Amino acid sequence: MKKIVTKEDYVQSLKDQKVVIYYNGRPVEDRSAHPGFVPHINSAAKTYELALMPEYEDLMTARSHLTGKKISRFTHIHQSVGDLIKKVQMLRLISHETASCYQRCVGFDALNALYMTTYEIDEKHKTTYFQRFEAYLEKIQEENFMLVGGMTDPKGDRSKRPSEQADPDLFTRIVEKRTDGVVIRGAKAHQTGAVNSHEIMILPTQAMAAGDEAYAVVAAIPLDAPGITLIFGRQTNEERKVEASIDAGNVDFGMVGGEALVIFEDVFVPWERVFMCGEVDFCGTLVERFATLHRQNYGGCKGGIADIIVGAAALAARYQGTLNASHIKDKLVEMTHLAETVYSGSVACSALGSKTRSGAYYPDPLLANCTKHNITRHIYEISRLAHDVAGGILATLPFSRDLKHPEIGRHVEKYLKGIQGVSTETRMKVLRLLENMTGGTALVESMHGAGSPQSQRVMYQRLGKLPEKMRMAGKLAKINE
Amino acid sequence: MKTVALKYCGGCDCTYDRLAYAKRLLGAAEGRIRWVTLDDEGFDTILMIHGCPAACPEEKLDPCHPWRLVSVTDDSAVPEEIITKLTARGEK
Repeated sequence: MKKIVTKEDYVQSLKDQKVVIYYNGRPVEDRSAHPGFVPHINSAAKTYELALMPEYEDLMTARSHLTGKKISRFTHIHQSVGDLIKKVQMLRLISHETASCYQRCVGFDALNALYMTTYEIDEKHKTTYFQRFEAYLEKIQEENFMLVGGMTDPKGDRSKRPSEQADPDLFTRIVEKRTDGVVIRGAKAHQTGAVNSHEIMILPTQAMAAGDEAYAVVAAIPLDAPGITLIFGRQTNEERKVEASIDAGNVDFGMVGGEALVIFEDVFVPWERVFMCGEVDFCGTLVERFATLHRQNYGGCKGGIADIIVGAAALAARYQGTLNASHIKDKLVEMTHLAETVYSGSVACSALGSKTRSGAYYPDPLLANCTKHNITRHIYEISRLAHDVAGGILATLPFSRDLKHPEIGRHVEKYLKGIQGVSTETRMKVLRLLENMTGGTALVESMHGAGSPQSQRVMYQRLGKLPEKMRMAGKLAKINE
Repeated sequence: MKTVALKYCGGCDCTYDRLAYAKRLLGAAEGRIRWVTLDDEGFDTILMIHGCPAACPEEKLDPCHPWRLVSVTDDSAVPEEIITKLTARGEK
């Protein structure tokens, strides 16, 4: 693939790569220009744009440990605790620019999780995955294409293991091994950024056991490979993206990342793109690492998004004359407290990161899980407070067409006006931005993105050192039994 | 004309408008300073414009290198005073 440097390169590359995508029951001819996708493309494009700006390059770029070249940080393998912290700072920065999801962290985290894990698979099984993976890493660092981290399988009956499902395709699997590669069948659900990416890295969705070998597969697959079909997920108010009016709220960047169901109907993958094939003993490690690296992010990206929610709520209050009311100021303070709390979690798990045997650095897994778990609560609370500050008008605003209407527009202008000197349209714009960021799909993403809350609580049980805490308590209580 | 390398921090959560300040400073230094980047050569002085007192990029600089480093962490510094520091010779 031609190296992607600018936003224009990125958009052109999406146009050039023909991927089978369905949106609302229809095939998409040109994904680079589809109004349902353009806001998500703009968000991802910010990662390319900001990397070229001297005032942001310190976060947006890094030096490749393989080639010494300056690369996008989204293709970098963390070489220090400082790199882990910069990742979080970078995410907060981009959230300030987009107030949305820019999608590239998933592939970024897949690359880092695989770097550590393929190294250890090779140590134990004398395989050559790490060497293959380094070659792939060098390619993505050079070409700077966008990679989906494809983890979540549909999973069917959750009480059954992959090999016990009535339909064996409900977990993505190898259906054939050939001398030149493998054939993949199955699907990956909720794939963030898939419709505007170039490749997908499929990963096992959970720990596996003997008998599940066909499901223990990692492979990098171009999204235009024969047999791949993408079905875009419906989002809250997505028809407003097509209108491109102020009713969209975040007109340029949309809501969350744009998720798709990615289906693999007997897709061939050559061996040089396969990085795990049957090593069930490493599926749990890989999943845990990917999850930790991904949960590390959320105080950065959602912390940055929370900053915009705080700002929008304050503007909404100012426009209706309530900004100086003590209870409004207190709610804004509480929102700020929650935003900084989630951010501090991401910084903390990064600061306590450590070096893996591969040389790559890895965040503290307990603190990373704690960070994401706080997101499942605090973003809801921040949004609840924003709704409180904004008032019921947030849910009852008329259409922007009503405001522009030659006959009734004057009524909207007159009766929805707040303070003098601020137009009704300005007030509506900030209320629509708040609506976009604090409801529907945006909230659900905070709950389930990077794993549902229960998956973090399972990690607390594993990593929470309960026996050690019981021992310490027993010692202080002078219990001798 | 003095050659100075200009370096910004990453800008994760700035406490002031770095670009507006840099514009003022670069405007005031016009004709007296030639600006380059850290990737270039021929400079012995670096102006670091940080968004906050954490001053992250300074950690990456080689402490043994004889660069003269001038840091800005807020917009209270008068541009002319910064330019004087940048163009002065023989002082750290």
